[in-house]
Amino acid sequence: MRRTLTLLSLLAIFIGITIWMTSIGPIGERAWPRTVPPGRILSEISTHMQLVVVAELIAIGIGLPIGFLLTRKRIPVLTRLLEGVVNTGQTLPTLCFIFLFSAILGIGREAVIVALAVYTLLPIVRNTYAGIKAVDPAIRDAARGMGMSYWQIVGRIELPLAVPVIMAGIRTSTVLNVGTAAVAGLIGVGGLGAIIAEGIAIGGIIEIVLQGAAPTAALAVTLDAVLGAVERAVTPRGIKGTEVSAVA
Amino acid sequence: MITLDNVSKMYAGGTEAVKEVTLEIPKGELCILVGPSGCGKTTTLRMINRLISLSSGRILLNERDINQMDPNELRRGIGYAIQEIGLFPHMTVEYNVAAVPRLLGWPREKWRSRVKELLELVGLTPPEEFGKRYPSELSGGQRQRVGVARCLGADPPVLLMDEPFGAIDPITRERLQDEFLRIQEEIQKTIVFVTHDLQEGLKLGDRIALMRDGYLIQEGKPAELLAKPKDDFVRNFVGTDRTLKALTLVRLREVLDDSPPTTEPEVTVSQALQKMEDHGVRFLPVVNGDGSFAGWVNRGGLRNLDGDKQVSEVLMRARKVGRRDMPVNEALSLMLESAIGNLAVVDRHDKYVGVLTFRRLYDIVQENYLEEE
Repeated sequence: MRRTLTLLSLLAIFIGITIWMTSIGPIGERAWPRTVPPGRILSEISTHMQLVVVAELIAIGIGLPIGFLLTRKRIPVLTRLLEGVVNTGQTLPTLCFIFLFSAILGIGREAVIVALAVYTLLPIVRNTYAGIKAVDPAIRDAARGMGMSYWQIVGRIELPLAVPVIMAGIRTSTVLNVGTAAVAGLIGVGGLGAIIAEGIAIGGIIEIVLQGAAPTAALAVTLDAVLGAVERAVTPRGIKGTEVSAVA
Repeated sequence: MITLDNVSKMYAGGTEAVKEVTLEIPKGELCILVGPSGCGKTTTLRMINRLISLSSGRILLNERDINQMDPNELRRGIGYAIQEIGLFPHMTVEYNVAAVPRLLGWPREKWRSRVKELLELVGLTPPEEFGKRYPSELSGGQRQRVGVARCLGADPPVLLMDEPFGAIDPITRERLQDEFLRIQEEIQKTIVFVTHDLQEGLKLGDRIALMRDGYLIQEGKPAELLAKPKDDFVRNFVGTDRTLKALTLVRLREVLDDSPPTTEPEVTVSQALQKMEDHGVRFLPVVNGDGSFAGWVNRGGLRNLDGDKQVSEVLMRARKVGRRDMPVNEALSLMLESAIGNLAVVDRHDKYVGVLTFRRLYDIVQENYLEEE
């Protein structure tokens, strides 16, 4: 309850800042505050969301299977290799990824999406792995002993029990992505980062920077709240209340 | 019926967990696998439903080689319960208990009524209420009950149980064991039951197989194991108090003495003394006209009394009596507590049926449970 209140008030503040900044138009000679037209902000939000959502979907599509494979003990070499990649990958700053992929793919949307996806991959892989690994071996043993097939154990036992942890990973990584995607504006791919970049470029005009930053924050808070609700909805009732925290 | 024929398990590293175990468990019997930790009892159990593969030998289930069967089908036909229980936390009790029936594709009404029946059997009533709960909403003892109900889910003829009452407090444990015995009497399953607790084994088992270092050391009825330990290991394992343990296996009705003469409360002291003299005994149980036990008279006590008094006025009342179905160790405890040293035994309707004396107890132990030195 307290968490929801905090989120809502944060959201209200960010949205308030944006509306205030954009609603007061230039009056007479005074060119302050300088504003970005609301239509522009909406379209940048939409671009921003596209970057985040596409990257996130790719990351889920790849990260879930990888995290799942890591829990299978049949492939220890692969497991150790992937674990290494995942762990060292997370220590690199996001910017490195974006520049790295821009160098490979050329500056553009693709590079940003791939960079975001790769960076997002890590929390998803780790949480999928941790969520499945955390299933009590006794539960698995009981399931096997009563005659569940391999895939029945995966589908009916392991995945449902791992879902809250996996969802927590997706949620963390999405929020992370909203912030990271702002960097894309720096290399001219658009999104809310573009407004921030402009504000900085024309001489550090704080209210323009804010008109990019506040919606970015609002977006992150909103997505966090929405995914939190999804997380609670998909958590099986019997394991609710057991505290699940993102491992990433 | 389960037959283990020269079964061995050798792991890749060369450690042998089970060595040439041959064992036959007849239909409807409860066989205990007992032994110190690491003796191979759990491995043996898990080989029966192929959770662990055999290295050599054969296991037959009703004359069919388990290696010829599909492992999942085999397991669905065998109830399986473990110490950690392993209830599915994201499923209600109802769905936990119905796990195997649902795997077998039973229609909904059928498994629902089966779940209800099972929850009643294990004492989780009302089943409608318990069925809807999640495992996290149950106490440890209740979870164990769900575990037992779950392994009975599809009414399998064979059950494998690995310390199913291991992780609970002694009082609940005792109660679950008693209930389990009652359930087994009703359902008559063929059961392999692993425990490290000999007392539990003695209490529940029709037969006991004692293992050490992967070998089956001795197998037989609980009383046999106590009476005739095969070697020092078995002797140590059953403990120096094995005679006392043996008494837990014997019921009063099997050993009570119904031959001593009795008397009625209405006779006089001198008549009672005369009767003792005639039969050459030093005491008489006094039995009322309706067959209930009234108390004791003994020669030393009566000798100095007025011979015309009625026995009813002078008899010693006994605070404790034994019941026919009482284990003899409890009877012995009552005898040690009372000043009289003899125990009158009554049946379910409180009618006197006989006595147990120290002399008699001693003879029984000498006869059955003493090894030749």
